[in-house]
Amino acid sequence: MIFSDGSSPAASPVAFFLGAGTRIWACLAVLFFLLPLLGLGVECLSRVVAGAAWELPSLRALGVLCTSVGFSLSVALAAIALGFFVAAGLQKKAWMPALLPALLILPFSIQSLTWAMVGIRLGGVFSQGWTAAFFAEMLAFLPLGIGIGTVALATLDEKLLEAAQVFRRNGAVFWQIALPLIAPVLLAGSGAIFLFSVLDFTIPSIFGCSVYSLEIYAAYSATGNPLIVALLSLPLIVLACVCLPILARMAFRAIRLTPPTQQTLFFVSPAWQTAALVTLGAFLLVPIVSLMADIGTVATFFRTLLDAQGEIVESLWTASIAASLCVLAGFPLALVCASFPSLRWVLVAISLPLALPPPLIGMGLLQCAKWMPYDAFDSWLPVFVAVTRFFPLAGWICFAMLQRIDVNALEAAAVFQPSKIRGFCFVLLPLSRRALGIVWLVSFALSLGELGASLLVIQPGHSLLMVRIYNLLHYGAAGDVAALGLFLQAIALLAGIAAVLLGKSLFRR
Amino acid sequence: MTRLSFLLLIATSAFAAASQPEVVVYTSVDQVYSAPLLREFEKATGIQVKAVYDVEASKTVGLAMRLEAEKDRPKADVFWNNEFLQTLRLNRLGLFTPSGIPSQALPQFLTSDGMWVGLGARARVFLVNKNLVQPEDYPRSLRDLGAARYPAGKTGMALPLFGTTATQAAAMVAKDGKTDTLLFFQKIKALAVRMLPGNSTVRDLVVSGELAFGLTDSDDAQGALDRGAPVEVIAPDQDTTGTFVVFGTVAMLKNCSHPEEAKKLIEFLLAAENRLVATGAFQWSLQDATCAMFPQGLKTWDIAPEKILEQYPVSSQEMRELFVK
Repeated sequence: MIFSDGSSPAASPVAFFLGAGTRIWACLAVLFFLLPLLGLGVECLSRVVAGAAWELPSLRALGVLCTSVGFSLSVALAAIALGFFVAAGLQKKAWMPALLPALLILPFSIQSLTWAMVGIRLGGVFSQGWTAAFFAEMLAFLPLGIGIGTVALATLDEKLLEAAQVFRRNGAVFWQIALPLIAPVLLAGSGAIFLFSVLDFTIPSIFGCSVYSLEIYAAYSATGNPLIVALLSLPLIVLACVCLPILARMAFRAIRLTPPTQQTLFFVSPAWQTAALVTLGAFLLVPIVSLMADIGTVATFFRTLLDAQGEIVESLWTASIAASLCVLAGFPLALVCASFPSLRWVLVAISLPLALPPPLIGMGLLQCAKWMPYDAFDSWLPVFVAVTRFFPLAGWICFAMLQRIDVNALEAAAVFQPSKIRGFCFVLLPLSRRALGIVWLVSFALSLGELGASLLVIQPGHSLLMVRIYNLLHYGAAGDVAALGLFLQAIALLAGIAAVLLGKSLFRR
Repeated sequence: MTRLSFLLLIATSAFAAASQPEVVVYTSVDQVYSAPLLREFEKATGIQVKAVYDVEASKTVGLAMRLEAEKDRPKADVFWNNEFLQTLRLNRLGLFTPSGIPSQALPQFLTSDGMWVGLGARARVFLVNKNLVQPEDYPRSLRDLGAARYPAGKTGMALPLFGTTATQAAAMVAKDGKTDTLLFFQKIKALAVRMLPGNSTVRDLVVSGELAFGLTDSDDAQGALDRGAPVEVIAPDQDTTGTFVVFGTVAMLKNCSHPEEAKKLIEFLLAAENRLVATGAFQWSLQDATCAMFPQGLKTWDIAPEKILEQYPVSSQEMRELFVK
């Protein structure tokens, strides 16, 4: 088959849409990702040359690392399992896609602290120790687990399941066919949760548990030396380098083998659906009731919002720009990786910043800013910080969704569209709009909650909502924090409803 | 003509905005306390304040790192810190210049060359839940942490890995020596004193009744008192060595862009120290050596700040070895 532009079929039908502009843009995206790491590398090297102190992880620290890995792994797997349980049970509900943004937008720190305080109030095993830390952190990551479960369910082949149903009972179809098919995607998603969990020390510390990130953070606090922090982060980077390619390979294989389908979940019984609804309801109700109890009066609620209006506007604006750039950077990169399987290692490589403590990203960008002759670049630093941290996730989601686009439509476009640009604009983009919407929403939610790296690059006269929230938390103004948290969730819920009303549901053709 | 007037108006406004005096301040004093004071300075002087705030979670380290990274092209004019260790460290790197603003603080709270000046202080105190502890059982000494008369796991403090607790650990090494300090913290750990990620968490757990009492900063304790929590504040070891005090500092950056405005801000902040104490940001005024939280007086450790800075790396490493495992 020869396409209208004279080319012949490439490894994937999406390759037709890959023009020179897209390739250049994808290269720029990768370069963008490299800049903070380059800045960090230069900063560390200059410290080495200057004879600054450095240290490698001690045996004691490596012992703590093993415990941390076990803990974070169990949190990730539990969050994925429970998230899949809820996602599968409620997938046919039309309101789920609208609810997802509201679940994701509340920053992890607020979610986890809320659940930590709930556990403390419950007492017993929930108030101290590894069990308490496990439950608080697992529940805080549940929204991400639900999102990943939703994506995993989207890869199921309806025809395969229907054929299996002829020969097996529903339960056997689920355990022997459906679960093995989606397991790679679930495991790949759990990798992301694992990396987020292993970098958190606040929740384990509240319950008296020592984790490896505490070691990193203590060293950072004591020395302020990025070289020491980078060296102590090496085990996490090595772990990511080992695990990410394995998980990626599993995910690539799973996504490649499953053509786009309309999902059917005949193995989800009414009891499962009810249990999922109850679980989600409890998950939503507990923090909301806790938040609303702290808010006080309606006047207090609006006063809090008024006081924080500057930060709210600035944060929403920064997160929106960052999310848009994540889409603009992630989509071309995903297109390149989808077109040329030999380049998929790039997706894995750009995921490495997920294993770095956020302040290191901020330090790298500060170094980059020093290279610029003028300060004009500086006002964009908070945006760049969020993009560096989260556009790898955007690339992954775009890549997964590109595999699911109707191949027939792509091939038809390749034959009938007069040029790559027209095909890209009038065929590929419309087919990808739902995926791009999801990427934007996820990137927006994560960018809104970003603090560790942003603290190092916020410009004078500007402030972010998370800075205000953390200051209010320190001050003990639980009511103000609750008001801001509920406000964010309300915005996300409205955005989710708008997205669903404007487009079709993710799981319907 | 109307179009021309409109364009002239826009241009004039832009010029006016560009020519408005401004000062850039990096501050780790809680935004809740510092922002209103900075706004007051703006109104009083017409100088626009561009602030960069910090959060307790980063323990001032982030701001200090930024100042160090920007030292060749400083953006900040003033560094207003709620503690002193990072200020001392940055002073050693030559980031500051004398502001020339006189201070009435005691000698140990300023430098002879005027590179930085002490501004407000907080004390390390016990916050006690009155519903759980009778007055006769109130803790009076650091040695009471984990004492047998309190239920196991019902006393707490922040991990001595960062923030003011880490500074206190370094001060203990400077005062009592490394061996005694290690023995103290080993005993703390063995007695199952709850070690928490921050002083505000200690406060919250004491207020909620999860802890009978905890060691925290006086500003955190003040916040609990202000919100009507059933708590009492006790300064430890007043019959013996006294308690540790963390003082804030203010300094002007070398080669800053707005030196005159910076001096005015520093002068304003020093004059407003008592108001900072009144709002609860600090509990001890260094200008007139009065302590609002303990009007009868407060006995404090007498250790040179430079000695604490010297012991900090050693102390920090020992605390990591002890508590991160």
